[in-house]
Amino acid sequence: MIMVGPDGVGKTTLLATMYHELLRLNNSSSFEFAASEDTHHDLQEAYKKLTTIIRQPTFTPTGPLLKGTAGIIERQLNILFKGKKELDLVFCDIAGGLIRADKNHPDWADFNQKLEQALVIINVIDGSALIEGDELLSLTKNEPLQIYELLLSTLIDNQKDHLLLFVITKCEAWLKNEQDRKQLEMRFEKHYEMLIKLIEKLDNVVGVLMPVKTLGCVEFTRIENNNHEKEMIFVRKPNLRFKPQNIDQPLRYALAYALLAHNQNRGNWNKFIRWLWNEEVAFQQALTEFAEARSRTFKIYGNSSLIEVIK
Amino acid sequence: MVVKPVDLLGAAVHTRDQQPGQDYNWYIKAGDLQLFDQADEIYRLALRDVEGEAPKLAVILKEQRIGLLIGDMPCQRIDHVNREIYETLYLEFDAPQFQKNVLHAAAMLLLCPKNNYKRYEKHFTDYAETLFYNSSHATHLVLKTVKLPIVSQQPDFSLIPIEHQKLALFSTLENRNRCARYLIHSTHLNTHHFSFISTGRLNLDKCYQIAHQSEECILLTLSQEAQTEVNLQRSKLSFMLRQKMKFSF
Repeated sequence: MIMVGPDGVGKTTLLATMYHELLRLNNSSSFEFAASEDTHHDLQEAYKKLTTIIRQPTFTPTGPLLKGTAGIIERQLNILFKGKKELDLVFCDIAGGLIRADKNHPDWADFNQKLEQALVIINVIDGSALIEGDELLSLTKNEPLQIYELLLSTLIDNQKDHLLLFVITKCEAWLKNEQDRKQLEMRFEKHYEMLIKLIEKLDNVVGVLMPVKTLGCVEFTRIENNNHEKEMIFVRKPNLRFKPQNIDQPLRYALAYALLAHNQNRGNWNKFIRWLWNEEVAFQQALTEFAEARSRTFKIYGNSSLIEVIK
Repeated sequence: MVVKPVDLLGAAVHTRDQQPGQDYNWYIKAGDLQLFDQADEIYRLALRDVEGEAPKLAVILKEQRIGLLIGDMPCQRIDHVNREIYETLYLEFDAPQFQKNVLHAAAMLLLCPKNNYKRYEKHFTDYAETLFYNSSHATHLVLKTVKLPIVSQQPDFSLIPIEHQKLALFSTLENRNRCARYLIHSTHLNTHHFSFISTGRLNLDKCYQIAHQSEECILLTLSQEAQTEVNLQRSKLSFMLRQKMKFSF
């Protein structure tokens, strides 16, 4: 799994909050998700730093929380079923600038290899720039054309099936009513028109649009001009708690997709043994339960059968 | 903070600028840098994006040159989304003349308490910022000397000395002391290519990769995989087998 998006859209913040949510999923699922100890420490530390947002003053621009990523970070995860390891997963977090890198960049080859191997691609999008910024600001902050260029060869040349999650962050201010949500969706579809058309033409890709709240207590307020550059200003709202919302959803979609692909790609011998011991039925049931907790309210683009889990 | 000016041959600064697209990279490469590729490799493998509270630094000694990398230092600047900008400074010196000074400086950074380390970080980021703001002369070394910390406290001599030539140690106070002792008292390292690295949670895979590239290499890591001393001269397979056997019995 790989996260893509320009720098500053909230990839690392999303990953840290998703990991925290993953620990909670362990209590409510037949699957067990275990990170390596180092990954666990890194992501828990990052989450702790995010929670310090509630100590920041209200109504003033928010201060720094996490530092930017400089290269490619691999986060190792295992999925266990009935105590037995089923699957090794790697979440790749990248420096935003890599989406623009050319062949001369020292990380280019590694990045491209990871992108080609990825089953799930998470494009993180700055929602405030999508809605409030002019065309140029939105294109600068989210770089949809660059993302299209980047994914074009990955999705076309590579015959593998892909789940593409468009996770919109920094959109707390537009998740309060249906009208604002609709506006968010329309702006996304306008700016990502080329990519959506591509997804809809291909059989091996499904896209899901999911706005999330990573912090919950920080909202966009205004755009300021700083040295001729437009800057999005976010402030902490006094009446809101630190409360990530919908963060389990990208995870549920991604993990259910990975488990489904894993189950479909088992070797014949493995399938026979599992059938013999009746393991297949239990696994399928657990997967169905896990997948059914996915919200059906998100807009889906392309081949939706790729994410269907049949009972 | 006790420091001593030392003549430099070259310096490099890895940081980012404020605007979108001005990403982390080596913005300055000035003077005569012969070990830069090795320093960059170590930075990318062992210091970049490695979390955990530990001194993040490296020493590379190769033939007539010695390099000092000091990584992950927060500077005063912030980027376009209000994040602190970090800097990594690479300094290169003439080894026959200044090997002792550089090894002592690295030892001091390992021994000093957290608050003092922050003062040293400030000292080195000031230096890096001076280079950064003179980026119009990016290949010309604007500062000819740098002040390096000198030994003002001795490591604990009662601890077991380091013996293996390729070793990963968990970064405890005790092991930092052992490494400092090794650096202070091995001023005439009998090797053509030595590296020392202190970093955060760097996994064993990467420790092995680094060890593979040096004749002699000592690594301090906070990775849970290295809670006991790991002899990196042995193959990784043998390490994994021993771990497996340890847990089986």
